[in-house]
Amino acid sequence: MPHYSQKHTVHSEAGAENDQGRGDGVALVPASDFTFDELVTIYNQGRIDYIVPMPMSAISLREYVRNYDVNLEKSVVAMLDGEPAGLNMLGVRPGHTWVTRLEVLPNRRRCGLGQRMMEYVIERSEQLEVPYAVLEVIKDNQPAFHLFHKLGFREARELLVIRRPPSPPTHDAPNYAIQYLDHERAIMLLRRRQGVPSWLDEVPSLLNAGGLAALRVELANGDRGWLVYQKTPLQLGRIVLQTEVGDPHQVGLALIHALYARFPSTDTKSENLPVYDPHWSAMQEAGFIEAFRRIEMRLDMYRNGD
Amino acid sequence: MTMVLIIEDNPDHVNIASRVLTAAGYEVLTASDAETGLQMATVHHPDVIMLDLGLPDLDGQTLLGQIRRVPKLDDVPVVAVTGWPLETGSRMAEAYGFDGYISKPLHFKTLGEQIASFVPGEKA
Repeated sequence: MPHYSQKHTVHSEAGAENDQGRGDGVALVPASDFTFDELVTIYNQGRIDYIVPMPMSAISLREYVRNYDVNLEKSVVAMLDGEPAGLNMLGVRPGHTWVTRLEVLPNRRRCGLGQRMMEYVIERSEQLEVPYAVLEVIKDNQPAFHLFHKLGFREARELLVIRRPPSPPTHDAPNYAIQYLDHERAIMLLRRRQGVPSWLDEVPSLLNAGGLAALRVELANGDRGWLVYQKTPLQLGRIVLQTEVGDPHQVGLALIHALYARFPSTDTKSENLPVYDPHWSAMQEAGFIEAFRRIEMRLDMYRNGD
Repeated sequence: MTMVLIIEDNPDHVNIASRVLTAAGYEVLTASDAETGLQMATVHHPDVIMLDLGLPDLDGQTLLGQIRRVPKLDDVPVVAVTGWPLETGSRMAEAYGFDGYISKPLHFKTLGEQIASFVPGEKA
């Protein structure tokens, strides 16, 4: 753990609790008072014993903050006896907020820090007057799920984190005609997307990430659809499939066939595909495997009578 | 002496694995991120690589692809190490072409034998 020499601002906005006033040695400090190196250290230490630790580097955390519109002024670090003990971040977009990266160091758990940091970001969401906040929790992380439920979040749906090892297409697909589309066309397609994307693949996230492309297929029977993806030097990701006309399974098989005919030796990782996505069966047939699941939860800020 | 390269960012796991494997007579090298791991593998050409699937700069599946692109490393056994549930971890390891899979937490009693089973010419 690095030495924290800078003077951190203790959270004491009007209307909010004064966290030093409790006399329990806890202070809630805006995350913007910390460097990315400091934040990533807290993050990684908080997840070191997780089933899926997903450690980050300072570079990847900076990218995460940018891609997902994380507002560090409204995110929080919990200090306990002057040392960082936890982190909780808040993404902010018009209409809703997104709670992410709630971490408490293993030896600082079970003393209410997670709840204190959650209350902090919920309060900031209320101040922004957004109608709702969302978050995702890894399925089977029962302590976190129960905390979020206690604070009013309710399960919305299950999301899949999926992988596909590099290989050319090995599945049967119907005959198709293909059209390759650039970034601008990919954005246009995304704006016509049906369904409700998770925060990670909302259009602003994909725009921020950049480097998108798309392909569109049409089958002999007139079924058609499109697939948007991001290609980085090592990976394909941010995959969004849409069937415009016809059977999503058949259109999905064709889209994935076309993608891996073009990128036969590229690994793929894609996050937050809804379990009920009509293309998932085709994706499985084409070699995608489930890595793990998340549960998306939602907190409606203004309930009846508010 | 048989050389094992451990690519793992969790210092506790590195410590356990290093102690067990050193005591079992292996030469142990360690790297805490993918970039360093690939560099060390290329330079030292270990007999076995223990590769954590969750690294801070690159996940283990993607790093395996990088390792396999280095001609002199294409036949080095690479063992996936992860805390994922057994079924998920083994499925992922098999799909990506790892030579084997070891679950976390690592066990003092069995780790040496597990690694021995991946070393050409050695028996568990």
